[in-house]
Amino acid sequence: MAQLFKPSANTLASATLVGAPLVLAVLFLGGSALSRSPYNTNVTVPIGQPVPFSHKHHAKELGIDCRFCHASVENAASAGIPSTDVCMTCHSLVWVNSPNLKPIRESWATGTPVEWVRVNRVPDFVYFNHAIHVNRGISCNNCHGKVQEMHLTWKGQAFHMAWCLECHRDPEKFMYVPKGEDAEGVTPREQVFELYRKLAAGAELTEVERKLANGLPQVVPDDVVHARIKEGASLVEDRKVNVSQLDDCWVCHN
Amino acid sequence: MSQDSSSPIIRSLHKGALTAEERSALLQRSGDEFPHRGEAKKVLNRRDFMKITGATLALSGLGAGCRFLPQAKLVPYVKQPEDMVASVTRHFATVAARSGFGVGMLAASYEGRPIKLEGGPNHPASLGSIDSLGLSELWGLYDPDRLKLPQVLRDPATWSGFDKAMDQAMAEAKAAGKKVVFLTETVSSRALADELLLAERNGAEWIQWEPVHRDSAREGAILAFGKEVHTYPKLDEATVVLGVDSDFLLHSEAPVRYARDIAAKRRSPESGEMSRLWAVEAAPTLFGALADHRLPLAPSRIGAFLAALAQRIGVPGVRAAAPPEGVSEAWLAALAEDMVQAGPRAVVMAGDHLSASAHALVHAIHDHLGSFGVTMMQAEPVLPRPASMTAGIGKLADMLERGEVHALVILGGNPVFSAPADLGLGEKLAKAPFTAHLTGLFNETSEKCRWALPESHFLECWADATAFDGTMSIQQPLIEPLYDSRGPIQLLALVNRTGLTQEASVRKALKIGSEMAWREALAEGVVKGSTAPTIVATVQPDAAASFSPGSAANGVEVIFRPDPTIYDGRYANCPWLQELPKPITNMTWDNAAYMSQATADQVGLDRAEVLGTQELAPGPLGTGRPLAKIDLDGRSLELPAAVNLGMADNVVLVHFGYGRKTAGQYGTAHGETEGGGFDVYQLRSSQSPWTASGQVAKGAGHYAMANTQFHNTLDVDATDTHRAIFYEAPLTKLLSGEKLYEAHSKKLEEKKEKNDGEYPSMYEGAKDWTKENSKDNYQWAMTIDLNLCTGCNACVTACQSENNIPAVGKQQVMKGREMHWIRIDRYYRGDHGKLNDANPPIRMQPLACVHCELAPCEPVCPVAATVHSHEGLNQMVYNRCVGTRYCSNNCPYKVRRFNFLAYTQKVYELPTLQMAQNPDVSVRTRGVMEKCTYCVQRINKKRIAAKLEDREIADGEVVTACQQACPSQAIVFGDMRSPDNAVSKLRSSKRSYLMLEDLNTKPRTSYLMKITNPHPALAEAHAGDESHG
Repeated sequence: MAQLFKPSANTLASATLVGAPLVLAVLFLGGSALSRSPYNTNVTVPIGQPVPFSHKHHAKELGIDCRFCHASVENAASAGIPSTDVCMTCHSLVWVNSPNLKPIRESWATGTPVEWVRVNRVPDFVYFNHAIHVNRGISCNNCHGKVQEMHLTWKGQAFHMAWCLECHRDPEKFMYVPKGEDAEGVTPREQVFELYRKLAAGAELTEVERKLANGLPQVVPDDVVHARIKEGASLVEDRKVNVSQLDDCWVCHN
Repeated sequence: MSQDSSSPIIRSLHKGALTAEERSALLQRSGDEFPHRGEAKKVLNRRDFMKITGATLALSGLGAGCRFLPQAKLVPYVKQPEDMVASVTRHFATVAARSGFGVGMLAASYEGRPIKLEGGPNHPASLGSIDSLGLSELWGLYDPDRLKLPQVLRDPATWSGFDKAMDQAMAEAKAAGKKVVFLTETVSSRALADELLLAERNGAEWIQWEPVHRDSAREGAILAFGKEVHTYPKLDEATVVLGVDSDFLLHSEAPVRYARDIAAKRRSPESGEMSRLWAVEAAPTLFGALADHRLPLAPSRIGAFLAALAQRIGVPGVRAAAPPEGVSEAWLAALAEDMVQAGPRAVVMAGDHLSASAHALVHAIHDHLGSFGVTMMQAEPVLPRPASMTAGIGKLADMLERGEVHALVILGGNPVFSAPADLGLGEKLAKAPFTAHLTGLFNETSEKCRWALPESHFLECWADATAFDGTMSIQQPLIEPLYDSRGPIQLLALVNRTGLTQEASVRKALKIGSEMAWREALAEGVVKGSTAPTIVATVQPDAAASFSPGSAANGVEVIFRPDPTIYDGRYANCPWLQELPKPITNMTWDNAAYMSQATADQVGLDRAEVLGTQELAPGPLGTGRPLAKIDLDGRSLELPAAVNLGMADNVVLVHFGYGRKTAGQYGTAHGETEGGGFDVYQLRSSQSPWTASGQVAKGAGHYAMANTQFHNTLDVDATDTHRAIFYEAPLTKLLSGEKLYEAHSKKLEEKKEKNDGEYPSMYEGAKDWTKENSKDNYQWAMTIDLNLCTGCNACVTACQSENNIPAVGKQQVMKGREMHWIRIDRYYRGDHGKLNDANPPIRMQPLACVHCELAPCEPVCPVAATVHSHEGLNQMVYNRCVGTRYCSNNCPYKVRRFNFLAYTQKVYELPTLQMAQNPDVSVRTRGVMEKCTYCVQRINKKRIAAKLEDREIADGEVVTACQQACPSQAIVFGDMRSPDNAVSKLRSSKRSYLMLEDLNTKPRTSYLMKITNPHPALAEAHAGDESHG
C-alpha cells in the first residue's frame, strides 16, 4: 500500500497547528475591529439629512449659541431638537427661497414635522442626562466631536461604555480652567459655551481649548492633572463632582 | 400575654393545620417533589439537549457580536408648545369616578402620553395616595383589546351612521309612543347628569344600575332621618371604630382616605394614644385583619348583634336582647363600654350590604353617642341623582318585557353580565328594536346590542366627578382619543343637540364662570369650596325601635361581594389586577367559594385539597381545589372551594366579577389552564343581592388555582419561633418600657458578644459599605410600619406600573414565577404553637428587596451582575446577568424575580403597550434577574435636580412608587445619614427591627413592630378565644 501521507504533510500539519489559531485570531480581531470601525459605528461618517444643515456655518461662522436650538441642554436630560418654528425664526427672513430649505418651508406650511436622521444614540438601557454634564463643565465636543467644524453632522464618538467610563472614573482629566481676561467668573456651565464664542470670534485659544475644539478625547494631560491635585486645586472637588459614585451601575442604567 | 412575638407566625396553611400523618399522606399522594421533572424528560433526550444547547450557544455568539445599528428618526414639533420640554415628565390633576365617587389623581405625562397615575394631593379621597384599582385605570387606556371603531352588529360602522340611526330611532319612538331609555352606571358627573336630565325633559328615561350599589345605605338613611341624607365618617377623629361587616379599606366611597384616617390614630403608639379597632364580620376584611378585636359572625346574626350592642350602649327604644350565638357577653360588654367611653369619638362603619333597618339602627347609635358632626358627618346627597339601583334595573326589565322601550342606549358598564339573574336582562334586550352600548371594551352587553360604540377613556375626555364628601373635581383629559371614540357627555350633547363642547358642558355644570377659577380648579384638582356643607339631620325616634334583627338563616348563607381585585368584573381584562394577589387569600386569576374549615368539613371536602396544599404540585397531576356546588332557589353553580380562616361557620363567600364570556384576551374565562373564574352573577338575584340562603354540596372534580401564598416563603416553621420576621407587642408592653422582643437564640447572642457586637456573617470578606461611604454619599433606607399596613396591595400595583413589571399569566404564577418586586406576606399568628382555625389573628407584611449592606446575593454572582452602589443600593445590572439564579437561591428574603420566559414580548409587539411603559426604566427580557431598585430612577432624577441647584436632596424629596401609593403612609424612605431625617428617626424607634437580623445581612429596609391595643378586659383571652361559635 502506498504511503498515505507524503513527507510534506509533516510541514503542512505543523503549519496548520500554528496557522489555524492564527486565522481564527485574525478573524476574531478583524471582526471586532470591523464592529468598532466607522463602518459599523458611523463615527466620522457624515449623515445625510432632509435639509443639509451645517453646524459649521451656524455655530462657528455665524456664532449662534448652541442653546438657541438645543434649548433644554442645560436643564433637562434631552438637549432638545429644534422645532420647525426655530428654523423659521431666521429663515422667514433670510434664504427664504433657498431650495435647500424647501422641507422646512413645507413643514411650516403643512404642519408636518421634519424627520431628521438621528446621529447620536445611546442604547435604551442607558439613561444619559445632558443637563448635569453641561453644568459640570463637560464640553459638547467631549462627546460630540468637533461639531463646530461639521458641515453635515457626524457622530463624534461611538459611545462604547469603556469610553464613558474613562471620564466617569477620572473626570479631572476632562475638566479645565478657562484662562485669559474673559475667563473671570465664568461658571463651568458658561465655560462650555464660551469655547464656541471664542471660536466664532476667532479669539486665541489655550492648548486645552484647542484640543477640545479638535474633539480629542483626553483634554488635560496626566502630568497637569497630577500637579493640579497636588496643589489641592482639584476641579472635581471645586465643582462638587462625586467621583466615588460615578461608576455605580445605577447612575446610568436603571 | 398570649399574643406577642413569642407566638409563631404561620404562613402556609398546611404547616399549621395539618398533622404529620396528613402531611406524609399528601406527599405520598403527589409522589414527587418536583412534578414538572417528567415534562422535561418527555420533551428532550440527552442528545437533543446537547444539540440544542450547542446551537443556542453558537447562535447567541452570532447575535451578540455582529449587530449593525439601525437608523432612527428624530421628529421634533413644528411649533413647540411653550412649556413642553422633551424628556421631562409633567403632572396634571384629573379625576376618575368609581361607582359614583371621584378618585382624585395626578397623571404623569411623558412627551404627551400618560405613563402613571398617582394620587391627587389635594383631593379629599386621595390625599396623594391611590389604590390598586386607581393605578390600574392606566391599563384601560392602553388595553390592546379596546374597541377601536363603532360597530353595527359586529360590522365596522361610522359615528355619522350612528348619529343618523339614533335620530331615526328617536323619531320612531316618538311616533310609536314608546320610550328612549338611557342606562348608566352611578353618575357622579354633574355635566353628564345635566345632559341626562335634559334628555328626560325631552321624553327619555334615565336609569342607573351598578352591581356594587349602596341601595340599603341610602334606604337606611331615609328610614333614620326621614329624608335623603349622605353620611360619611371622619375616622381621624375616632378613637373607637367598629366595623360591621364592612370592607371599607378595600372597596368603599373613599378607601384610600379612610385608610389614611385610620392610620392617624395608630401612627405613634409610643405617645400612648392609639385608637382601638373592633370588627364583626362574616369573612375577613382588610379592616378585620387590622382590628384589635375581630369576631367572625354569620350575616344572619349581625342584626341581633347590633340590637344587643345598641341596647347595651343605651340607645333608647331598643328591646333588651341576649347577644346572638357566637358573641360572648364579655366581648359585647367590653365593646359597649369602649364605645360609651369614647362617646362622640366612637364610630360604626356599617357594610353597604347590611339591611336598611340595620343602617338606620347604626344611625341611631351614632345619634345616641353624639357622633354626628364629630366622627360621622351629615350632608345633603352628593350624587346628582341618588336612586335605588335594584329598583331601576327591575323597572327597565319590566319596561323591556312589556315592549315599552323602543331605543335603549347603555352608557358604559356591563348590565347584561351584572344585572340580577332573575331579571334575564340579556334576553329582554332583544325586545328593544334599537340598542346601543357605549363601551371601552367589547363585552357581554355590547354583544347583545345592535350598536357597539367606542367610549373614550377618562384620560381622553372632559367630565367631572364628585368625591365622598361632595368635593367636585374636573376630569381633565391628557391625551387626544387614541381611537375613534366619544365620551358619554359628548355623545349625549350630540343626541340632545346642545351644541356644547365637552369642556363647555363641564364648565357650565360646575358653574365656573371666570377663566381664573377654571384654571385654578384644573391645576388644584378640586373645585374650591365645593365640599358639601354639613347639615344636622335628626334621627327619627322610631328608627331604633322598629328594628327587627331578621330571621335565622335556612341552610348555608352565601354572601356576595365584589372581587377584591377585578371589582365587579370591569377590570377583568387588566392583567395587573388579575395577577395581583387578592388580599388575605392571595389567590390570582380566579375566584373561589371561600369557607371556614368547619364548613368545609361539613360539606365533606378533602382537608388537604381545600387548604390548597395540592397547589404545590399543580398541573400534570390533575390536582387542585375540589369543586363545591352552590344551590340557591334553583340556580346553581360549581366553583372551586377554598378555606379562608377566620370566616364565620356555615357561610360561603363568593366574589362576583369573574366568569366573563366576552372580555378580551386577558379577561375572558378560559378554564383551568388560563383562569378567569366562574360567573357568580348567575346566583345573584334582585331580592337578595348580598346574602342568600341555600345549599352547598361537594361537586364533582377539581380546579387548580394560582395561589401565591406558598411562593417565596421565608420557611417559617411552627418550631421556628425566634426568627425576626414579624414582631408585634401589645400597647401595654410598649408603654411599660419592657423589652419588646427577645431576639434570636441564646447561642447566637453569645456569638454576637464575642464578635464585637455583631452577628456572625457568612461573608467575612464583604466590606462594610456604610462605614466607608457614608461621608460623601447619600445612604438610602426604608422603613415599613407594620402597625399601619392594611395589606391593600396598592404598593404592588404602584411598583408594577412604575417599574414596567409584566404579568405572567396563570400557568406561570402556578409555577411560582410571578414578577412582582414587592409582595404582601400574609401570616396567621398562632397561639403557643397552635393555630386557632376559627379566628386566627391575620398579619400583613410588605416585603421587597431589603438592600442588605452585606448582601448574600452579591458574592455568589459569577458575572458581578449584582453589586453594591456607594449609596447603599444593591444594584442589579440586567445587561450583565446571564441567568444563573444563584443570587435568588442565596437570598434569604426571597425577593428576586427571574424572567423565565419573554414575559415582555407583547410590549415589543404592541405599540399601545409600549406607550404604557415608564420610559425611565429598562424593559427586561428573558433570562434576566430583577428585583426592587428602591426606585433608583426617581433617586437619580432628584439627585441631578439637586445638583443643578447646587444643594443636597432634602428629606422626603425622593419618594418611591410604593411609598407614594401607600394609603396609610406606612412606608418612609430617605437618607439615613442625618439623624434628623424621618427614616433615621424611625430606624432608632423602639419598635424598629431588622428582618432576619441574625443573618447579619444589615438590611436597609427596617420594620416597625405592630402594636395591638386589646381591651383590658379581653386582653388575656385575646389571641384565641374570640370565636365561641
